[in-house]
Amino acid sequence: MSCCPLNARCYTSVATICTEKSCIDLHCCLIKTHKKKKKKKKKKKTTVRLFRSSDLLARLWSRVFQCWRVFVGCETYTDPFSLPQISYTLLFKVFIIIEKMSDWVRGRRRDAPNSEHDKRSIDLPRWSHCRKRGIDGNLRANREVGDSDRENSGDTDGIYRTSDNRHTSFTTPESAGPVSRRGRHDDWGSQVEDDEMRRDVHRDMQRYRRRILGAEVAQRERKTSSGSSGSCDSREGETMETDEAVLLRRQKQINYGKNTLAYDRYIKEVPKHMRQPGVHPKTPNKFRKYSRRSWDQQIKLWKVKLHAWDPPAEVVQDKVLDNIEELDLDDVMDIELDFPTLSDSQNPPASVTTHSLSQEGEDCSGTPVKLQKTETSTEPDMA
Amino acid sequence: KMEHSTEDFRIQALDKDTQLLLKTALKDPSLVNLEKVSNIIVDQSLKDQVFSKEAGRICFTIAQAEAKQSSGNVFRRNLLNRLQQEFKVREETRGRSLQEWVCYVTFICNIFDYLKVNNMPMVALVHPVYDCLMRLAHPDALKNEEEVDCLVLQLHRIGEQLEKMNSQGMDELFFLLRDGFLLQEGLTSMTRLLLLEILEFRAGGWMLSSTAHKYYYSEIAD
Repeated sequence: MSCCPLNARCYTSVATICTEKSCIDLHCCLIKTHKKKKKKKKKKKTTVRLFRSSDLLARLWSRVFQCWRVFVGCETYTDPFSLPQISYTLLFKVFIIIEKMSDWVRGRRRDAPNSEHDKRSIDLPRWSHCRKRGIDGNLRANREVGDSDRENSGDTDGIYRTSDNRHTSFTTPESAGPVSRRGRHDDWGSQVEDDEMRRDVHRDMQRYRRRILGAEVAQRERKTSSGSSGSCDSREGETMETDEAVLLRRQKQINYGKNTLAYDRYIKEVPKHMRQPGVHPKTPNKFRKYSRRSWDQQIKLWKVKLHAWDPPAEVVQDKVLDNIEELDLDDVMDIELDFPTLSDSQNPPASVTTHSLSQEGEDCSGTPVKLQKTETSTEPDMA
Repeated sequence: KMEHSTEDFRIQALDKDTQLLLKTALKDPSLVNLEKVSNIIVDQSLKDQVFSKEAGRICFTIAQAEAKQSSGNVFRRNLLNRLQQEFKVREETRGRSLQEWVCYVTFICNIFDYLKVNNMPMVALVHPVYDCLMRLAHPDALKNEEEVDCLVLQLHRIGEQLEKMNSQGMDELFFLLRDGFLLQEGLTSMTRLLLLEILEFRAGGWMLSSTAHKYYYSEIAD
């Protein structure tokens, strides 16, 4: 029987996650890669962000155990390595349900230290990092984390010889962890952009609140008409999304969509009052409460609809500066896991590589800002 | 002072090609390489003190035009990142050329003054600007009238905004200035005059009372 929940071909005999190199490589491939488009670079680099497998597994396990209580009734935090045999079918179900249930990426980000200087703990999450969290996700003992952080600053090979007597090959020592997105915030240009977006979002929020209030007042005045009362707008008052992190993330996705030639053409060709719901693309409402999945799907559909306004191909030919797909967020934490069935898990991931068009057309005249494409077919399927 | 033609006037100081580039950038930013434009502006500001006092307005206009035209911010981003690069090597700059250092401070303060995000000063610049001004308030800098002159000029222009963004920084800066005024030996009377004036200026809520104004600015009829 295969033991590793992520790789059917792995036959390590322990009831834990296997640490074989091939297996770990596969784990890496399972992660939806993120390509970040670097604006205005001569060489369009495709930054593929891979989570170090150890970190990924640690997170999965930590999530499983956070939810373990619910599923199995285990009251205390259990070290994944001391677990009795688990049925992998069950484990997989748990995984999938967890993924559907919660926006755990978000939760993790909130847990992450805010200080920009404390990059290490974000760049190089450790097994110990997760294992020091209790079921509630809180750190079990701050002192220990401090200690391990200090250790982390040392040579990378030494990182894993913590108090556990686990074999060192259990984890893959790598010197460079995934590039933290916080690195981006070091430059003033980005800081100001982020600042601008935050202010814009807050301004929009005020406007939206006023609009809701207006709608409520209007509704109260004509309370005779029942039936279709209780319109969405009035209910939104209570269920409005106010989490700044969520709003900023959504705004960013919207901006990506709007920053296209197609969008420019669309708003030019179809004036606002002519737009029909269901026919024309409508920007998703970032202030409504949606699940992460629902929101992402709305964005996706919106972008697909916008493609109808892509400029004619021949005009575009010279103008294409960049065909690197824009995989929504450049957010390191925003990973999606593929859940392969056990039979096809060794298929090489199709989405890892993207080819970039030759860049001869790029000239230093003018400033490329508009992207031709927002999506390509390489977007992996949702599980 | 100078009115609308300031930009044109300032641009005259540059060579023909650069003039054309800047003028195009002001009118139609999509036609030029904005990264290049931002570099030219920074380079020129570091050389030319008069230009550095007015460059903020030019930058503001270009950034506005770009945002309006394509809702882009390539220019602003490059400008700020270039400013940041220069900021990192400011101590070397100061050691190499006092004039360039003074130009840099003038320029960054001018950018702070003119480039706004939603009508608010850019938060990212608050600390760097303070750092520069603090440097100017150090005892060794107070010995150079050039630097003191720059310091008080910047405080006249942006002191109030800076204090609104971070009052603690301003308090610290003024501790240094008071110390310099009171305790430091070997300052010229011109320097003391400038320091005293700025102390009074802030104490009066970033204004000079009319009597103080008379004291500092009316010509002595003798």
